[in-house]
Amino acid sequence: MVSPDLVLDREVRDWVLVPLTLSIMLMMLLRQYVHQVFMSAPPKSAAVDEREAKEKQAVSRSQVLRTFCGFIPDAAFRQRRSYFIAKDTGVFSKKSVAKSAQEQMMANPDMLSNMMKQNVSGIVPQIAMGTFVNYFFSGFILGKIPFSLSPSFRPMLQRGLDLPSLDVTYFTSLSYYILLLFGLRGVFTLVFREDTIDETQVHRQQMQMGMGMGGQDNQKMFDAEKQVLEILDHKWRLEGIEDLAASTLRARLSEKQAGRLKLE
Amino acid sequence: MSTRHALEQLRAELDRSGQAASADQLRRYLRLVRELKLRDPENVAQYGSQLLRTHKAQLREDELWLVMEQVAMAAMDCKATDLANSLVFAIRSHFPNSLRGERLMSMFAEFKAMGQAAQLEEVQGANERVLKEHPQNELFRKREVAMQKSLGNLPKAIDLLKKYVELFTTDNEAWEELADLYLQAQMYLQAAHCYEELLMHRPASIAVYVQYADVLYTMGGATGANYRLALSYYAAAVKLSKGENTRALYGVCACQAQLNGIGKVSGRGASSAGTEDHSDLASLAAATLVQRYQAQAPDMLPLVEALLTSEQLDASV
Repeated sequence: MVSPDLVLDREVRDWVLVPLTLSIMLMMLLRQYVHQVFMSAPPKSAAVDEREAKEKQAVSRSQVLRTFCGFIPDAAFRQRRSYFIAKDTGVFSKKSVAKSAQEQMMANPDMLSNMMKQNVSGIVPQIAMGTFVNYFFSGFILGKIPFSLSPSFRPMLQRGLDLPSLDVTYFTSLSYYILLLFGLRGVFTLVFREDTIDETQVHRQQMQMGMGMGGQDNQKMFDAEKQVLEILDHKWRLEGIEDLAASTLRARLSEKQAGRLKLE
Repeated sequence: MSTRHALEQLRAELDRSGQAASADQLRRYLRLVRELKLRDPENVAQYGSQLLRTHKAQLREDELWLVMEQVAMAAMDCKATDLANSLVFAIRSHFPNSLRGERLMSMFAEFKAMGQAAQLEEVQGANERVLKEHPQNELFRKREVAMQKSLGNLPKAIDLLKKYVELFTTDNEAWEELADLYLQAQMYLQAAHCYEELLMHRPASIAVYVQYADVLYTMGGATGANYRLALSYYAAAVKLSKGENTRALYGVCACQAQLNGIGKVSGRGASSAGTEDHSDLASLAAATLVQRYQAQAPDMLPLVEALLTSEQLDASV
């Protein structure tokens, strides 16, 4: 069954298509600038506490010790081990000064408000714009795509219009809005280059922040390192190296001698 | 090592083409020097200024400033005041708020002070101010150490560097420098500690084995434990270098001689002085030494033989 083409009013173009496109672009511009304003305030949390940094370094140092302890003599190894795990004075026997993630959050409300700001600058305009478009521009058919689609595309293309008998290839203003929202980023990248807000990146950053904060519990790492160091058995790798070196030299000498004999 | 070879080739090419060297060649050379962290001030200053004079427009923004910094430092190194002056100020005016620029300025001030203590102190005061604001800045902390070292203030330099390695425990070069400072201050125990740290970071580096063994040998002691340990580390260096490291070979001989002496003093035979006897290694090392001198420097051979005899080592294996 071929349905006759719908004829769209010109007014729809003048009063829906053009204003909708313009308002979306303006909104995205606004968001870009708001984002820049918020981001321009430098993150102050960059200054890490010196003691905290030291603790992290201690952990990585003990990891090095665990992996390569075979290369240092026994006495040196024992001295280092006791530096880390001695009963009262060892680095890992003390309580970690670094705060856990929750304490950090409590101690630093700046972090919370920063996150809030990020979220607000991302989400609020989207909600506002959605409501705006829904209120003013819903229910219009804006155009037709030049290829046929299966009916399952209906909720995607004909948002805001509940007409099961309408051909799927017509799309509505609300779908057009969503398309522009995600499709215009490429255009904005041309204008703002690397400063464009990248939705996916923002999300990824938030995820990482969440994970990073969960993972950095120094006290736990201390305990784990301490346990491993306690049971670690030191085996000097240079045991018997003299014999190996002697055989290397012997091989070298006999080789040279053979070479000389050949020459003669 | 292949990159080092490439560098040699490039240098030869540049030597041949002289003033007509292409921008690409010059850039590649400078980049290689940067990557290998070599100190080759004369060539860098010459080729770098050539590049900046004739092909400046071809450099991209990020590379341009890297090259400028590199050339500025090289110019200071070979006392090309005018070149350094223009470059440093160009960089400074382009990055007025950068810490790296500030460091360059302070290096330049240090260069102009020419080792005069009073002016150096002034520079150092300025550095301390920067460090107060940015206590975590590695570059300035290292500069501070270098400054103290050039002022001849060894204990202060050691103290600063100690604090630095506490915070940046994985910085190999800092450990190496600290070991060197300790050696200059004749604090061998501490130097040995630094070399142990280096051994763990670079277990394949022959130089570290030899240096550590040197320190152990220097510490010595009547029980011979240090000599035995030193012998092991020299042996490791011999093994790793396949007998190419002359210093390690000499080290093996010297350690064995010391152990023999200790054995004699304590009234026991050389073989019972240690847990094991490695005198065959020493005589093998001596033979290798003799052979190498025969091949490469025959006129020095009598000296070596005299030394080995005085150490009572038998080189005829």
